[in-house]
Amino acid sequence: MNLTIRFAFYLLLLLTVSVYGLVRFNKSSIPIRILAVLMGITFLSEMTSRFFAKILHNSMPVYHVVSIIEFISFTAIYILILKAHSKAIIYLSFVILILAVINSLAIQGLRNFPSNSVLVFQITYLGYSLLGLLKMLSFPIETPPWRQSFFWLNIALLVFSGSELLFFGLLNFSNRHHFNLNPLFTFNYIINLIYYCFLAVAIYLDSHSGKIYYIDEPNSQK
Amino acid sequence: MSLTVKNDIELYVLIFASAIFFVVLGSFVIYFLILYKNRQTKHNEEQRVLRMQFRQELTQTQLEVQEQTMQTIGAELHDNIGQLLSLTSLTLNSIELDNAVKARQKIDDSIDLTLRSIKEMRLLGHLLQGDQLVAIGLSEAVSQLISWMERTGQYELIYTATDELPAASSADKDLIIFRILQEMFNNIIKHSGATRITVNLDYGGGILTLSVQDNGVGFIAAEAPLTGHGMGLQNIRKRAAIIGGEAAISSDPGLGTQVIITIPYP
Repeated sequence: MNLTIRFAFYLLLLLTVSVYGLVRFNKSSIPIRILAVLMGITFLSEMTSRFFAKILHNSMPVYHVVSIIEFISFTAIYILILKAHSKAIIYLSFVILILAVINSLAIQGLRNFPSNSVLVFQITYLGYSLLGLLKMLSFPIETPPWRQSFFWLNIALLVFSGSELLFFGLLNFSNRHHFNLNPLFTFNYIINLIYYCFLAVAIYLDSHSGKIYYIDEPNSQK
Repeated sequence: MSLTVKNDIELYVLIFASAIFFVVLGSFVIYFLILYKNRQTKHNEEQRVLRMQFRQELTQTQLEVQEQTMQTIGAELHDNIGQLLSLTSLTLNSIELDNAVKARQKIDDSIDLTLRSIKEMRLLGHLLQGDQLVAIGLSEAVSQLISWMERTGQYELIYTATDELPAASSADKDLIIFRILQEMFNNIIKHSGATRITVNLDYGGGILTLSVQDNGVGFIAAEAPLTGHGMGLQNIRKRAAIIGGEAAISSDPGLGTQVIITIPYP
């Protein structure tokens, strides 16, 4: 598939998910509202990165900023949902954030892709998703997991973070052996599409089947 | 290595790695769903058992309240009303018809005794609604129970109650709280030797607090399970826990006892 058409399709999906999230904004729980805003920011960042690439021939500064915004957003989402672990998450994320900023300013620099930060962020997201799934097991409710918004949020993060870690590993392997990277980027592209589809399901279910807050408040479910 | 072979290897590596990844991920998700279903079933079963235990405890509490009521009725009939009616009978039997003045006096005395008996019977009638008292409000039920304690003449009772109990109450919780108070009074009567009892019923922030303090002999709290105090206190703790509350019991020899029950309410 032509790169431009592929990218346009990806942008369209991202725009659809973010617009849908913003349309359901008032009916959604606070974590999903944060997610909807993050989708919007991600869409704008993708547009901005193209602009930077065309005009300044380097779009890496955008990824430095967006990756940090994404990390803060997901941390806020999981602090709100996993109240019992919120203190630990706050302390850990504060340390990671400081390290990410140092990495952006001093270690890798703004002109290079923040692979160090992204790697640590993805590992953190993996931890969040596993913690979320564990909490679901601790507070099982009547609603089947596939009809719960929180399940799809966790699976989305699990799939995306896991595959990003795999992607980085294969990228290093392919670079070392001078392989063609196109199949790898196609794999990453498909994972991104799956990721945003899962997030769309999470947004849909949150405003239709029950708010995401049930996790620490079993009596407050719809 | 030729370009074609290189491309093949890289494709195989990618396919193999992706396949492993998706198989592991898919297996994990399926395992999670199975585990969730099992936990859900176990959780539902636990909830069912808890609900059944609660109902059993509630039935037991209702029976105990009724039993307590019957005991009090029996004691009142024997000690109070029985005495009044016996005296009425004796007075009527001793009337001398040929002495009009004395006969009038004795008839008046008999009428007075009968009226007192009727009054006591009416008060007893209120007590007969003992387990239904809770339906007219916990605060009123507690007031009635305290009135009965005061009438024994053995205790000075100080009762303060909040005006702010919520309009929507929980009948099940009210009954159990009422029974807890009865048990506390039973403990005081049986063991404390107290002369003054202070009862406070307070409500705020969704929490009902019932506090009962006496100036009795007290006991060493750690040794309570070994003495007669033990079963009553255990029951109080158990009943409070059944309705999601806690019982804090503090006592020292010679310094009386205080029991504070805190319960989410309604």
